[in-house]
Amino acid sequence: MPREKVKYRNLIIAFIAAAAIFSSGLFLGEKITSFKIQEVGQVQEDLKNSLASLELRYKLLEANVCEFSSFNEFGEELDELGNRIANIEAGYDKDDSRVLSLKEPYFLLEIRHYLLLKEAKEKCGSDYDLVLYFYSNDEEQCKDCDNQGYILGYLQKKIGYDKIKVYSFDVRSDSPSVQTLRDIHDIRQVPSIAVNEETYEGFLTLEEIERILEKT
Amino acid sequence: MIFQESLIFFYTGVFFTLFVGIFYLLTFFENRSRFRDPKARKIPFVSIIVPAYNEEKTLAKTVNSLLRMDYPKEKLEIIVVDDGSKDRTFEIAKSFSGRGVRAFKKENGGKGSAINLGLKKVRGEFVAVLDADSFVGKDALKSMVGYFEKKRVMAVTPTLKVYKPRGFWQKVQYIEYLFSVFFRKIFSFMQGVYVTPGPLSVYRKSFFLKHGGFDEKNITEDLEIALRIQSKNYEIQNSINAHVYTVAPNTFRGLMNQRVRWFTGLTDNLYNYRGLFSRNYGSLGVFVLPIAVISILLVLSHLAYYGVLGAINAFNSLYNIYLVNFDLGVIISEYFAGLSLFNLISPLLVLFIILIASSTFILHLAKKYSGDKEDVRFNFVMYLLTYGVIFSLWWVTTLAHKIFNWRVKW
Repeated sequence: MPREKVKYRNLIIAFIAAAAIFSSGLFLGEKITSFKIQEVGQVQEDLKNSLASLELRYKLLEANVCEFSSFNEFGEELDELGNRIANIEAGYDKDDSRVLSLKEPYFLLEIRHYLLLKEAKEKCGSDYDLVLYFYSNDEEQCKDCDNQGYILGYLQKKIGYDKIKVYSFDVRSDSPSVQTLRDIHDIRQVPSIAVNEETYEGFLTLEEIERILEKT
Repeated sequence: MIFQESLIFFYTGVFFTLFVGIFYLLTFFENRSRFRDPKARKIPFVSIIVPAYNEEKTLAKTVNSLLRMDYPKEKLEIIVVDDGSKDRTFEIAKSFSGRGVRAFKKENGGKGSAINLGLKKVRGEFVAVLDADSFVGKDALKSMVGYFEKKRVMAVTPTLKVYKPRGFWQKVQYIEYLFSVFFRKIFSFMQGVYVTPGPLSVYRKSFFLKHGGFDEKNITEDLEIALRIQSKNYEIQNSINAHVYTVAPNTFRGLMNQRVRWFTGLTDNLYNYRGLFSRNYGSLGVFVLPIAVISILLVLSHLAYYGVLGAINAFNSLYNIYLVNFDLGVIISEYFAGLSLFNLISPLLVLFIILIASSTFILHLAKKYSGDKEDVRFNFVMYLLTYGVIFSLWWVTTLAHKIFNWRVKW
């Protein structure tokens, strides 16, 4: 045979080296995700403390709460946190236990914030709008959720945190509090929204939601 | 949004690219000592054939570059074959007759037939073919002839560069050609060169006498002859110091025509020479050709798959924007609010960085060993951003030509 011998040795070395680089790349990526989850956990913890402090201030001021209350406190931070969790969820497996462990406390924070604002709204008779949005990330369960979420996100930005707050809840959550919230508002399908305690089932266009907001 | 399962496909591509890249780098470093071109003990007589069809613009410059080469005049013969041009190609060729250039004219019959006519006229033991739109560096021929001291070597290829890259298309090709410089040299170490490019490849004439001239019906005759040399178990070498500059297409359309021709030629010839995909042909049959085919298939399938996913996403984004009545002010400010380092850093990004770092390293090696001084940073960024799509577009068009039986233009 006049040809040089085929160097299978190089092929094996290349395979091992590629596997090593590839897996260290994956490992590094994994580390980054862990770091992000940790970071979000930290932000979550901070927000929890701030919210507890806010709750205390509401309690202490009781009678004068309407003079004190600025409705937009922490609403934006809460959304920022939600976006970060959504980002991790997108690059990761949705059903991963670590992602779920981020979402559950987030929903609880949302509910606490919501209850606080609801109480203040009732006491002060303000026209601040509170919107609960029930969705599912399972595309088979909810085809319109991506679009509905986009519209609501848009509305939140357009109207601003000093006039409206949208809270999102994944109906697949096992959290008893989320389940209770669902039951109170009689949510049987996704997407659904509850605007100031009134429930609207099914997909709503931007115009429909704006009309509802005007009415209330 | 790209979901986890869909990433597995991407990971396969990344792994394959890494694997192939490392394999070729290993071969590269193993043979570092073989980069110097062997010196010819006796300078051989070389005949240069310049096939030309409607090349009045560049022919004079091409012939002048040959006359300026650092090679003994008495050992050099230049033959221009005008392949039935409709312009002044023949007159220009004849104007060099005082300086030892012979010109011939024939009916138009394709590049292969023009070279074959030249082959009948040559006196040398070695024959170089140079496209009439290319210019040679001073040392080109001198660097190449030494390889023929080894009797099994039937052809030697040079380092090809894009001549004075201007505009987007030539700049992208400049990078593409630099990568080829690296791979052609490595393939030569593995006896796996499968194309002897039209811009200055040198052949041993006895091969043509024994195994016939250029295939006149072939649209990529330079690929066919290389595969034929390989199929007869001869060697093709490469001189990284032999620089040849070629005028690359500078329009989308011109480049598309060229690539459709190349790729049609590649698929046809690889099919005709499918016997080369065998252990009998050493590294060429086991790695080089299969890796080339798999790479093309991987690029195409990745682009198709992620192209469809991307299109679905783009459509959905557009639909979302429609749902909020194209209120761009809010949409744009929201988009930028969402852009943060936190959101950008991801496992995917790490793999992308690894890939880009490896290709930058390979480009660096190609530049270093071929003595390239051009600042290519900007071109490289453009290349990275667009080449995958352009490459796939060429292939899709080529396949369309195959399926609908369209005529492939020259």
